[in-house]
Amino acid sequence: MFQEFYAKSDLLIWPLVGLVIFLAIFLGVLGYVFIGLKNKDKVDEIAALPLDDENETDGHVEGRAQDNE
Amino acid sequence: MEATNTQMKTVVYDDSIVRAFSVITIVWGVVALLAGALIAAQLSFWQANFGLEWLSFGRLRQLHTNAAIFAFVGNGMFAGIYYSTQRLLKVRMANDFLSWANFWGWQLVIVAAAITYPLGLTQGKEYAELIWPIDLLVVLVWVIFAINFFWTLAIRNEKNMYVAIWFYISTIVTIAVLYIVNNLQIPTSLTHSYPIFGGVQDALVQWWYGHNAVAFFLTTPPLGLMYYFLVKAAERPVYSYRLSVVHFWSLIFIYIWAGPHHLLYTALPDWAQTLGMIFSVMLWAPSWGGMLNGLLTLRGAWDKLRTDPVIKFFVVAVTFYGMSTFEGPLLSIKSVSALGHYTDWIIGHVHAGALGWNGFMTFGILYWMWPRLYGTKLWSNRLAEAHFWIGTVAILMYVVSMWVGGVSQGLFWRALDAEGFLKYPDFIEGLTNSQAMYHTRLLGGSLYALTTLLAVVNMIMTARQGSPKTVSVQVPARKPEGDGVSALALLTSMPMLFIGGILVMALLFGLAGDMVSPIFLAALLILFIATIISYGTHQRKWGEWYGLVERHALVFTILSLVAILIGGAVEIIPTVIMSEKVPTEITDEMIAENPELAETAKWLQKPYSPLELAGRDVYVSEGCYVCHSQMIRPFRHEVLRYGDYSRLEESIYDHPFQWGSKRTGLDLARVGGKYDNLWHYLHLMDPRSTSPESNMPTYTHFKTQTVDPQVTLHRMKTLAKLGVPYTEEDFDLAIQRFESQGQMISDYLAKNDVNVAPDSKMAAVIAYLQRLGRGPQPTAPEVAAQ
Repeated sequence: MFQEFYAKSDLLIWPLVGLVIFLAIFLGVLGYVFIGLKNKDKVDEIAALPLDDENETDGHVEGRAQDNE
Repeated sequence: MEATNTQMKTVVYDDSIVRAFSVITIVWGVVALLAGALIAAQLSFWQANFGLEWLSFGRLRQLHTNAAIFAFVGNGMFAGIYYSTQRLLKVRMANDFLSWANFWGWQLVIVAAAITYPLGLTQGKEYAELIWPIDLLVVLVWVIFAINFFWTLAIRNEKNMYVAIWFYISTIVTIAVLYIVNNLQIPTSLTHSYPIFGGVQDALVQWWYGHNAVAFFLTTPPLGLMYYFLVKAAERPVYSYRLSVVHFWSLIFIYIWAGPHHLLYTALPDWAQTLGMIFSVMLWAPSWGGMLNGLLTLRGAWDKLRTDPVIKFFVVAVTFYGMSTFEGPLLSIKSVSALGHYTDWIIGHVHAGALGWNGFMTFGILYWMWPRLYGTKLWSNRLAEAHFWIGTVAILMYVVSMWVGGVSQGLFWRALDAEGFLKYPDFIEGLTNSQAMYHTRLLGGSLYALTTLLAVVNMIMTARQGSPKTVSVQVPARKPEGDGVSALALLTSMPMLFIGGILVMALLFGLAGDMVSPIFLAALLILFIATIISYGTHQRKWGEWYGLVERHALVFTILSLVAILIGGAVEIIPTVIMSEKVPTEITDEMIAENPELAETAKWLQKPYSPLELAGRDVYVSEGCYVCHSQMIRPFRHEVLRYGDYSRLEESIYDHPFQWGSKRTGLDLARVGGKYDNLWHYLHLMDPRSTSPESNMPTYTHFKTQTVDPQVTLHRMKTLAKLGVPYTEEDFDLAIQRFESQGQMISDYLAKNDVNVAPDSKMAAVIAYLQRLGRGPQPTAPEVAAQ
């Protein structure tokens, strides 16, 4: 049975290796955001980036003027 | 804004491309949803197939799924990405020609799909059914999109890359990898090809793709869009930027591993199933982290939920995201999958995500964006409200009916009586019991499709009351890339060396033998501790490094690519390598050397005969796999109903594999020999003649259409290149065997007053069905004697 054949394969170490890599990187990212990312102003600035284009009002309307504002 | 002494420049956004993608999104949305309503009707009322091969469920189902995924959500994704990217990066898209090439190329793909699917031109792999020339077009369009996007990143006027951009980057690179690997194939003609992977390899690669198409086409782009449009609609910054960092990296790393949960209890090796299950359960955390980040962004703005239909769409969309991403990992637990797999529960789960999460996100974005694109307000909030409420009820009708139907089917199939035998041996009874749920689904699905028309009216009227608006903004001009730090410098900096060292040590640990691997493991641990110490003592440097990475598009893209490649590689490479070792022949001498091979020898397959192969190609082109699985799971109730459970070796020559994912009809893995040829003929001509309650379409065209033995011979030679052990003798006798086997089936039917040509599709499909679960079926004696 090849299912058992697979179960004995040396290659099965790779998922374990992948898991180790994931955990290492995950812990690194956690460490970064909870310890390394201390600059609150910087964080707030990035978090609010989508709101930074609120000054689009200088845009102009092509063609006829809008009639409901 | 930056300090006033920064040089300013005017940027004019290209919103004409956004308008085009928005319009086409709603157009294809209507088409996709109406196609869905039609195939739902076909499952309720078989007459809705209209006796036309072009409209049969097997062909239209792929049209519906592809239209919903790639046409509706895909175009909506492009619209949202083009809109938000320009504003987040404070720059016009790099090249207008590329933007429009992206638009028209994508529509060409969709039109080509809409033509080829009804014609039965398909690769036979779920969500990857497009034939190879269209695949090439998809790749071309995706490359155009990628070039335009990364070029825009390179010329941006905003230093930081907001979290939405990260999700777009991961989408672009991952879809490219998935699509190319899953569509590796050898063409046999302009409209047909065989995938290079077969059997278990193909199953693993297909569901690695299939699952991650959901992940990186239906999840990461809407998440990126959520991080932009929800923030805009709520007029609040994202709840937690820190959480978004963890959300992004853990989601893209974990998602890529979860594909095998589509193959639980199949012939896929157990370790891969378990791996898929574990990572799927792990997905709960990042998925819910993202959902909570989205919902909590509304803190202080919940009052808008009462008055703003856009917020309503977003909140329900994100809630459905939470529901789907709770249900998905739940269904990935093996014991739950044992009940839910192959049933309508999965259909309910998929549609909670598609209609609730993807659909409502898309509608929310359109309702928010469209008035702004025309410099006006939404024509009717009341109409949008009506769309929202009717749509929500429609989703619930659809999803709940499929949950009830699915769980009932699972319980019905597995029910055993006191003696341990099937309590409900007649499969069709389960289908009959589900009819009420099918009708409810039809009603819910149709309602959802019709509400889309409300959005069409609102969009038309909104556009009529406004005019196309061109937005120009003053932005500080600056060089954004990594703050002057080169990609090489970033990739060779101290933190990267530590991370690279950990990766290398992990690889060496895997490569080394039993004696040496502990040394590398120890080195890995030491390096990990050293990394933590370095991090502790140089926090500022590490923080700055990641800050630079976040702003450096190339480095960020490379790291994203590495994150998704790790999961893909460790799952697929072992299976591909090991499957190559399945022997094509096991002799007595080999068994004497290795007695374990005796069991394998019992399940070793012979390639399909020419007529069986031709029949298989017809089976694939008709999309039979969307209702019939060919994978008997190792459960008593399945073995009692269908026969011995399926072995990995049995489908090793199947290009593409046909294990299926849904049982509206019976499993066919061992249908060969269960019924005679006449039964199959009658069943294919009129399924109600053998199963009065069946909802299967008729296949009367099998009787009138033929298969060409020369084409089959050519295909056999192609399969031989892929490792299917056809011999020169097989090629020499192919035409003769094809004709003689067809003649035998024709003669058998003639004795029962049925005239079927030996080279008809009917004879070929019967030959294939009679082969399933058995060795090649007999050809004429004189041929066999040779």
